[in-house]
Amino acid sequence: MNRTFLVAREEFRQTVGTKAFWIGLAAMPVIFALAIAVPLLLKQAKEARPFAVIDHSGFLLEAVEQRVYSEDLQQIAERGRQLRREDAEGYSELPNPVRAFVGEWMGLGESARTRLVEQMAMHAFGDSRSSDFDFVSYGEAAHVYAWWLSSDPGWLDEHHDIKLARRHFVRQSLPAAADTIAALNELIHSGDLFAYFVIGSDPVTTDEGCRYVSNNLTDRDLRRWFSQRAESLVRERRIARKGLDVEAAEWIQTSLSFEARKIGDRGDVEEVEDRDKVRQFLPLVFTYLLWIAVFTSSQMLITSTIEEKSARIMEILVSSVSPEELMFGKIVGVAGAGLIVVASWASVFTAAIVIVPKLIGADIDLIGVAADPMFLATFIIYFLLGSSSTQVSLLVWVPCVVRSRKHRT
Amino acid sequence: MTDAVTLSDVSKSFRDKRAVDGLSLRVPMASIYGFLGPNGAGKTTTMRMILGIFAPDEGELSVLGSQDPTEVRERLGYLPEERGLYPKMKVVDQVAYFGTLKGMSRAAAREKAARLLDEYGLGENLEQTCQSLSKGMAQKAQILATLLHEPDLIILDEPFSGLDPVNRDLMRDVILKLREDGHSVIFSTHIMEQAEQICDHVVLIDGGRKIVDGPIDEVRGHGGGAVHLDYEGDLGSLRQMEGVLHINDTGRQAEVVLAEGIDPQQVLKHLVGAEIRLHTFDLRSPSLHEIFVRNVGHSVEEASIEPQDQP
Repeated sequence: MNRTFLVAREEFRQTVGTKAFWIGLAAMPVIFALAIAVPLLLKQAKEARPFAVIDHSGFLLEAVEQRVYSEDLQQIAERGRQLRREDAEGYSELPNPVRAFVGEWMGLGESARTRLVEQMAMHAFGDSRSSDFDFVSYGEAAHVYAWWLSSDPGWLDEHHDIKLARRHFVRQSLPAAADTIAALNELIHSGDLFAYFVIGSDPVTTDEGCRYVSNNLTDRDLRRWFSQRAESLVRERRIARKGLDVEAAEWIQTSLSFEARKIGDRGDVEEVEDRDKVRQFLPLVFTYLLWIAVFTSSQMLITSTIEEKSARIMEILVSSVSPEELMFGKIVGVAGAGLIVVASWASVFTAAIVIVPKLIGADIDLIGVAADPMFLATFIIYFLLGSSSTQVSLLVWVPCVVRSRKHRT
Repeated sequence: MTDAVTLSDVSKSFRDKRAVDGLSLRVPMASIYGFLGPNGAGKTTTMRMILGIFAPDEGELSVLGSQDPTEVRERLGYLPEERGLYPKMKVVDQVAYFGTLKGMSRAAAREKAARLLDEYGLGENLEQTCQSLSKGMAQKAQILATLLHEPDLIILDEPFSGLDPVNRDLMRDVILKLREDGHSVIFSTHIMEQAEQICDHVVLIDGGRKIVDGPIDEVRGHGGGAVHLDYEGDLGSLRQMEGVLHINDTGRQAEVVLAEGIDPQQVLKHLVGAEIRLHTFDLRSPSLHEIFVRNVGHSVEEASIEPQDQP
């Protein structure tokens, strides 16, 4: 037992005493952090993509813009309500017409709220369909539209977390040139324009003539964003052209969704919260970490065993300790070094579960989930069992061990 | 006094290869015992069995009075033929570590390691890593690691292999000092001159079998008589002389091995008659080299190697 401890101590000292160990230890969390942070930062740092639209249909572009305005209004109303409840100072920074709109919207029922937003969008874009809200007819809607047009989407995002569509996608006017297409192509080529759309003359009948032109075909956000709205509007027109009842058609298209529910500790049916979703996901994270931890520590043992074999030290060692003491000591020593790796990851993981929810703005108690004894205990047990069983199999790396066990009677 | 090592009809095989075949020998206490034989003769395998690294397939062995060598592991010291040190470990830590594995306390091992390294001229290298040492320095460190715990039985596998003349002398002195201090030493070699100089007993092994063993004078006595010459001239005619078994001729010196009952005076008479100028005419027993060549010369040429699956 004493010699096992000596071998373990030396194995531990040699493993953690190398620069490679500490560089690897520091590199792993950095790589993980970068893998998570870089896409987030890139997404945040992504500049608004300028685009242009050549609309041969004469209606679809305006309809899309109207749809975009109504979506922005819906978001302004919801965010305004939240500010009014939680951040009076932030709410007071919104201009009067916007606050009036939020107040009006909050005073309505769910379906009336939708109609108010639709009516305001129609009014702003000169849609002739009727308007039956006082708020619209008294002219307040026009003030809101004027504010929407003139406001800075970046400022709204940073100060009020209102993300207008213009934050990401900014439509440019078509260039005043004899050959519009050629001029747009030049802008694309020079990088001044991200993309342009061409809408065919009759998109309701066919998509002939519809084009998306860009030199960046990997970033599909703009194409998806615009085409989803255009497609939805075209579908409405198709329904109307066939004389179908619009409401009936919408109802037919409504998807059948099964809302997720869970059975709580008391046996009641409860709503599924974000915490529950994280709880489902966390075992995958733990399993992945476990996999890396087991194979990292096994790799350390393989490296050290190969070094002892190639440096001809093994023969001296087996003349001083039994093969069992040697291998058990090595496994314990490497497991100790492996626990340092795991501890460092745990520290980084703990820091991450405090920081990440704040970064992504999610209200999830990750600490509460991760601190579940079930996760921690099973992780440690599986790590020890996994690394031990993997490493014990390395006994075959020491043929003399196998041979002496086989022949000793 | 109990023998340091006793082997009785010990055999060991690796798959189809019989590395040691019915070997019996006795290594007396406080003696230097040489294992002689060509490559693949079974010397290293025998040593590993004595150390308890391998268990014999057949036969009995006793090491320092124990049937199980692993029980007396702390009283054994081992220097393998292919020496190894942890390249990134400090020299003093390295030597001390092997000492602790042999039962020394950490503090005592470190203190003694530092002292011995200093005594052997490595005092300025204590804190250096082993990979920074020269080959000679590393060999010294390795020897000290073997002897640090003052083992009763020291097993040295080809200790003179790869050593320069200075370190070869150092190694020889170390072995002689060990015997003087009452330790038993087993070493293997195929440098016969070294064995002849320092061994009390030898065993000649070939193909895993013992050819001859015993006190060195006794072994040399098995070979009949021999004459050692310092000369000038041509020994060609001497080779034709009846009773001359073999001549180890190096040009200016020669060992003439004679058959049993041949009078060396006849050789002297022949040399004078052949007008060979003699500086020395010395009657001796045959050298170990001669006995080695005579007994295993055939197998040296077709020397087998150690089994490949051996660690």
